Amino acid sequence: MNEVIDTPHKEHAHHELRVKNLHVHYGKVCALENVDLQFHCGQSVAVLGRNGTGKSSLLKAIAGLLQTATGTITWSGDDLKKHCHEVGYLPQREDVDWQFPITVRGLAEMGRFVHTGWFGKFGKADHASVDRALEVLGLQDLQQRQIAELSGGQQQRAFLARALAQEAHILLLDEPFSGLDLPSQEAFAEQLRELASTGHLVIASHHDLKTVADIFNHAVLLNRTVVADGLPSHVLTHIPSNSL
Amino acid sequence: MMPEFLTFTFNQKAILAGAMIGFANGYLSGYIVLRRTALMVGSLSHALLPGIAVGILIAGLSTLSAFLGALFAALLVGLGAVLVSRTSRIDGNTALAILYTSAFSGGLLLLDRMPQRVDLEDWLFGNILGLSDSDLWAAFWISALVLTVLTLCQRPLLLTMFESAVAASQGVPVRGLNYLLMGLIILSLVTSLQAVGYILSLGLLVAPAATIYQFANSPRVLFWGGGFLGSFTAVAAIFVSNWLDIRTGATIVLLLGGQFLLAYIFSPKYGLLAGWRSHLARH
Repeated sequence: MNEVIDTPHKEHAHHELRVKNLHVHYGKVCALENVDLQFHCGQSVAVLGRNGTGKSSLLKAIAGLLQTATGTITWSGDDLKKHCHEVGYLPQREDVDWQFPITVRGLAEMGRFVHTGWFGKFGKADHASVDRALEVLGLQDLQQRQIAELSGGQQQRAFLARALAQEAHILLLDEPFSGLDLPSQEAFAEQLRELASTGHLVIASHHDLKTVADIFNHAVLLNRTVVADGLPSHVLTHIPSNSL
Repeated sequence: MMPEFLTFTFNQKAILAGAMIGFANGYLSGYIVLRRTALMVGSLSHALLPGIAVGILIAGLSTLSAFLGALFAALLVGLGAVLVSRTSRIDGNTALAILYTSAFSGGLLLLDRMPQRVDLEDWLFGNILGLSDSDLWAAFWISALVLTVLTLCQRPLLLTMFESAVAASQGVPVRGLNYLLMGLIILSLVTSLQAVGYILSLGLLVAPAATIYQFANSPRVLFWGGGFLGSFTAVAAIFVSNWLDIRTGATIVLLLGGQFLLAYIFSPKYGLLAGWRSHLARH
């Protein structure tokens, strides 16, 4: 059911993320079952569904954060775990220790650790990559700010900067728009559209059905398994109109 | 001209030990503050007493026997608390409190059976003015080991402390690093025990970074700042206690507590007064 979306950066389009027969259990509770999905670079995907339908579990499973996930997740045919540097994950706000003594730049620098390893030198290329990420997200002037001293939108951009400094192609965002005021939501939506247009695969859980088609070019509706998958206009037809 | 008290060898040794132990524990305090495990370390430090006593009773007085005994006791109490919380209605903190107080009491009874007499006060506040050369060397090597391992593992430890699940997904051995950190904390506690006692080891393992935390927005500043503050305070307290003729161990703890209080109130960014000022400015 996947419609192919044309993107300006076709050279990335061959990078394909495939989720096959994914199951996630928390003890006896089943969060996801029989999930099969296929995405490629250049797509920005909204993961939709009510609370408890497995949106966060899907993102965490792709990010490799769940020990209990079974099934296969491949990136261009290879096990995604071998390409962990390709995955950038933005956690839900309440999962972050905002008082951690780290600046925006320090956070972006963390993204380079998958490349430098434990002992490697943090060299010119690493600093350049961090500079680039901060510039793309317009955070140069805020780079010495501690992460709690930012607005909600700036905080989301700071975590995106970490993913970009990491040179991740797959950006997984858990409810990135929750808690943002309207101007910040619009600015962040523009950022996500730009990232998809430059060849990233953006996958975000989302609850505001009115903005899905405006922000994303693909959507998945979950209810423990995939109910619908395709263009936002197609997927939204599977949702009762009183939910819109 | 050198003050008279510095001409005594035991004072010179005390300054050297205070500087080394203060630095290593102060550096480590950054990790404890960031992991928010100060209370757990406090509980475990009490649980070490029976382990050290048994270690010394079985294998004689040495840093190694004390460390192994301490490690065993800490594991027993730590894992015991996890076991009780998983198999009953009691939560982990309650279980830990019961186990460590029981362990400490057991340790007190064991003290009476030690080959040489050890007073409880020595366990609580140590005797920094009665250190031997071998105590100094043990403090030196263990401080060097703790600093080297922490510096080498700084990146994965940072990732683990900030977002352990993300760190694990990037191949960082999160569980192994947590055990390593706990091992280093126990090692530091054991080393500093004789010199400065339980209460002070614990004070040095928490207070320096907690004070720096009121100013710093970088983990490196927190670690190194904690190390320098711990070292400086320990040495300053030896001078102050000599000058005022008061107990050295207690003076170190009080100075650390005083510094924290000042930082808590007057830190220009995160202090109590700064908070009130910005609150008043908004309303």
